[in-house]
Amino acid sequence: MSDGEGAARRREWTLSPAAFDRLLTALDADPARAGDRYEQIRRKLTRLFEWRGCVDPAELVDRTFDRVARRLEEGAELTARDPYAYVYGVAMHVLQEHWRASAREAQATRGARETATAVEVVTEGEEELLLGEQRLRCLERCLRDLSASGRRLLEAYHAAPPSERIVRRQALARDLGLTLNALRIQAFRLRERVQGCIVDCVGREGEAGKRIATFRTLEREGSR
Amino acid sequence: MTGEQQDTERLRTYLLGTLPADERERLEIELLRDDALYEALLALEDEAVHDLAAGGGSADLAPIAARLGSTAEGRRRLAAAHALVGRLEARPPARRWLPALAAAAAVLVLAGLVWFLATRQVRQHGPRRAQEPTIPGAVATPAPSAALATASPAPELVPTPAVAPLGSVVTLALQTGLVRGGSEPARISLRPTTATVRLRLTLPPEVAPGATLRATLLDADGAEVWRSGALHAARRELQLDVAATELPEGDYELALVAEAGEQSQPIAEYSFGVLRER
Repeated sequence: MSDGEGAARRREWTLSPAAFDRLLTALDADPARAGDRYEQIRRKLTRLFEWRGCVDPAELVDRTFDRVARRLEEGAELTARDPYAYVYGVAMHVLQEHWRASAREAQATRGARETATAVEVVTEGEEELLLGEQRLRCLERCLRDLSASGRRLLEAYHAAPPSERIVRRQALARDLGLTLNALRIQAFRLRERVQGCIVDCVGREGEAGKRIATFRTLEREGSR
Repeated sequence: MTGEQQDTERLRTYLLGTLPADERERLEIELLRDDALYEALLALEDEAVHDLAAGGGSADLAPIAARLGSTAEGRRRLAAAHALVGRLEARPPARRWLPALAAAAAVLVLAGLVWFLATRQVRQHGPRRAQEPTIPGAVATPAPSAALATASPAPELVPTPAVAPLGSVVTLALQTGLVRGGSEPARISLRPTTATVRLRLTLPPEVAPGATLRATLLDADGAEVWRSGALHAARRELQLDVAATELPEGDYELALVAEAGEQSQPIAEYSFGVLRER
């Protein structure tokens, strides 16, 4: 097969259900564990691409898994015990291709450089502000839902002025008999809990808002 | 330095984008394999986000701020962190419950008063949604707590004195081509409550994605008033947060240079002026 044919074949390849099953099986023979592992690698790769400065990491993760699945179809083998190095290698190829394509795009737009003086105003939509209010209500609720010790820990962790943050956190860790890293992870889990709670709460309020709006619309239509 | 401190330092260097390429690859494979290490990195990043949101963060965190500012999700994350730390900082420590109880009584009285005044104002003028822009060209974006203070008059939304509204953020977007001696630079008007001036810079197209950049802000006399840490251009845009206290009234020029090894090359200049409302 020539390089051109190979490239054409790669472009035409799409992830079929069978290829996806093969990918999952390669990650773990047990379907439930394979699904968990797939999700875990997916989550981590997404963050790795983000940390590398990619604006659309999910797209690059999709491309990575598609390519791993295609290579498996072509006979490559994945060690279920440690598939990470292989997946990572593919991800880095995908990333390099992405950077090359971005550089070509930048080259193509070089001639279109603007020289005019322009100031753009950045506004925040009303909807976003209202969502902000809703989030604050939910934040209050979610902080109340935390245990008293959890709330105290978060307050103490974030209470220090910038110049004293490190020293205060070290002292707090000592008081609690934890390493600084263990304390940082505890604080992180608590913040994650609060932020997760806010997302759920905003979602619930949003649904309730929609129901009220629908009810009012029906009421108005009924009164006509 | 203990093993834990070394690990933390390595993770921090990774987040700042300054870990050498071969070490970075080794670490990234480890992160895929090791859930505990991955969680330690998430925790460190999340802490940096919250420290940035709380203000006064080290200039070293600038690459993280730039990365967050380059995506809508990142900006949402920073706003969420801002709201949380603002609320946490405002809470009195639980052990000092007695003064807190006295304060709560005062708060109730004040809250009732504020509620009464807000209700009267809404009856007279209708609800206000946000701070109004002070000049064309710059919009004050109320920080979440500030939005709370100006929003609906419902009693549960009335801010208590314990929750001091956080300063607002004024965003000014500047495009390439703003050159010295050209047309009148953009002017931005800052209120005493403005905490942060957010500069959104459109980068020249020749800046390669992932390039290392550094920004220096000079006053009209050419004296340096602020300098960023190493920045990484994720897109064609870069966002810089400068504390409003760093910007007295006057004209400024922001010089952006690309760094490669020990060499740096100027790539863009952006001019703007600051007015101060009394």
